[in-house]
Amino acid sequence: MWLIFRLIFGDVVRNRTVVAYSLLLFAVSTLFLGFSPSEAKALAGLQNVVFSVVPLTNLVFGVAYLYDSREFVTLLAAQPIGRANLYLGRLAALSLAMTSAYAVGVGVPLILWTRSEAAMTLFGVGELMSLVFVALSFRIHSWIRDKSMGMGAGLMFWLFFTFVYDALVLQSVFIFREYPFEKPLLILVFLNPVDLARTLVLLKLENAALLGLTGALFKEFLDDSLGWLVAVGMMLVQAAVPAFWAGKRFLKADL
Amino acid sequence: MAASILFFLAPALIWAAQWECRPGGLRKTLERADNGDTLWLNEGIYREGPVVIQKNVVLLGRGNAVLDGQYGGEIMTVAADGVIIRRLVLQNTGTAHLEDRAGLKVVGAEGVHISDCLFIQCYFAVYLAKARRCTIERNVVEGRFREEFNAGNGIHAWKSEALRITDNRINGQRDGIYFEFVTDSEIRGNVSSNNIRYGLHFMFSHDDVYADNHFEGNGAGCAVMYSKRVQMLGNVFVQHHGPSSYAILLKDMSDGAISGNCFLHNTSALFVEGSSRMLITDNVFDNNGWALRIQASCESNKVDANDFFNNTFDVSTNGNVVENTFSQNYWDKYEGYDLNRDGVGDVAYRPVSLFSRLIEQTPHTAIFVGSFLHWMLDRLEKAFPESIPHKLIDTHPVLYPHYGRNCCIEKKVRTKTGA
Repeated sequence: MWLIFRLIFGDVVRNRTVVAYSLLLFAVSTLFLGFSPSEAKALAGLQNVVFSVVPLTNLVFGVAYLYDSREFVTLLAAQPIGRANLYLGRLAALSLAMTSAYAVGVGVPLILWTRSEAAMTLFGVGELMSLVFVALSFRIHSWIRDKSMGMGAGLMFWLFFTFVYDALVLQSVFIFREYPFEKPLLILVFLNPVDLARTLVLLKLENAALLGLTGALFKEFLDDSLGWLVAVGMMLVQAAVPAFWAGKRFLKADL
Repeated sequence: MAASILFFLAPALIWAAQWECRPGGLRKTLERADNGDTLWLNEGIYREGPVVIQKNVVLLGRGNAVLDGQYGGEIMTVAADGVIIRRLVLQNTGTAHLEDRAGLKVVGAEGVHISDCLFIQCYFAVYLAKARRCTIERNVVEGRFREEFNAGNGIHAWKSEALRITDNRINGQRDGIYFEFVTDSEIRGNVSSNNIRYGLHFMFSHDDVYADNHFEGNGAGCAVMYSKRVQMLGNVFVQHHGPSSYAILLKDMSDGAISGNCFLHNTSALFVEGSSRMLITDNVFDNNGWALRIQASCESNKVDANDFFNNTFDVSTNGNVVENTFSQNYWDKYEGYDLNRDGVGDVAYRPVSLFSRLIEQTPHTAIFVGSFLHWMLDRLEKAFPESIPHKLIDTHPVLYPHYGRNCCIEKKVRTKTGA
């Protein structure tokens, strides 16, 4: 497993797309942090980029990379290496590569510039989102054999999590606006990693008070350490479930 | 007790006596003093129960003269005209829910002058009822109250006229300054901060001016209600945060002006309801959640020449009826152009975004602030205006701010330090 991890990790971090992704994030972060009139504004701008670019890159690049390395994996599988080791090595390598790319691109500028609570939250949830979407790309790969179909599915998932899901929730908020909808809304937000990540950052930013009553409930729930544990745990579960599921299939799959 | 010593001086024109007081002797000296006399309160702690002043005297503190209410009743009541009180420390009145216990109460008097006093933990600090032409200046009010129902106001005025309240500092009361049925008065240069409810609470008070005050970190900044011809000039409002907090609430106001104020880091900067013919000009709205929430119940208000920077939402409203005019404002979100270079944009600007409208109707939707969906919906609405009110439009948006981007921050420092 260690060998496979090393091989794949080395391959991914040298990949041009990953380097470009990291550099792009770095450029955007430094631009926002360096030129925005206030830190809150910089973070608000940066989070817009992070919450669309991070899921997109992780999904699309993850899926593409997995399809491209299919022959290599088949070759490895012919060697006396356990399937579980093979799978875990790849999962760990890809996850670590993508999280480090994010750490270099966003984490380093944030640490250099601000180190505020909101900034560190943005850094942390970005890393968790990377894990979730790398795991999801494994799931997509185990599910669809055709590359173009897989890429399409990746894009669909991205669109779903960043846009369609929100639109559906917005619709339900409108339908149930006469009812106390805070708690169902909290649950709905928890089910989508992008929403959850955005809400965690939003609550640390100044305009949290915009949220009114909903915000009061969210703050009450998420401001103590238990709420935070639940939120972080939820994102880890969202990463673990597809990863586990894909792994189970990989063990039995006919390569 | 022979604590008081009589100094008999003969001033040129008035036969006014000078009295020296020591702790324990204040009441007796007051009994002996005549109209026009001066009482010097020497250093020490005076625990003499409620003192009522019914003569036209001057009370001056020397050193650290402390009047302690011992958490009992009131400390001092002024019921005579022309009383002057300076440099005293009044502390620890009792708390009562049936009567308004005050550090210094002025009832039915005219021309009372209270200055340079320090009020510590007074339920009400200065309480004016049916007072006329009184001046309250350079006092410091320090409350350490936690709950709204257990705290009184800093400077409370009821049914008075022609008051001057200047350069006071009020901290940690229920309302910093409270005006009810007070007319022709002036509130200037005060700092009102960290009060539980409002920095300034203002009702049924016509023809008043409040200017150059600093409000920071109160439950809400100012609630200005049911009054006519009120001038609000050059005040600074900082950090009023909370789900239902605002810097200024205007309710049923008419014919007033809000000019030259700075609003910095408030959840709602200016919330206007049921008001008419107000002039909202030359203000700077910087980094607020909502800069201006103007309800459909308002009419004939003018919003001219203001600067809007970095607000999450610049303007929001709750209906489609807009009877107010917007002109010559600077909007940092304006994306138009100016071909003839006269400094005024050639395209009109609609400051209400679709999302601010959604939130106004259904507050839960605020959870999507900053999401891709938020951005997309606002763009869509800009391209195909459908649901934002058509008449809420700035026909002449200016391209450059009227005031500097840092003017709020500079002004904030200036008003806070009283420079």
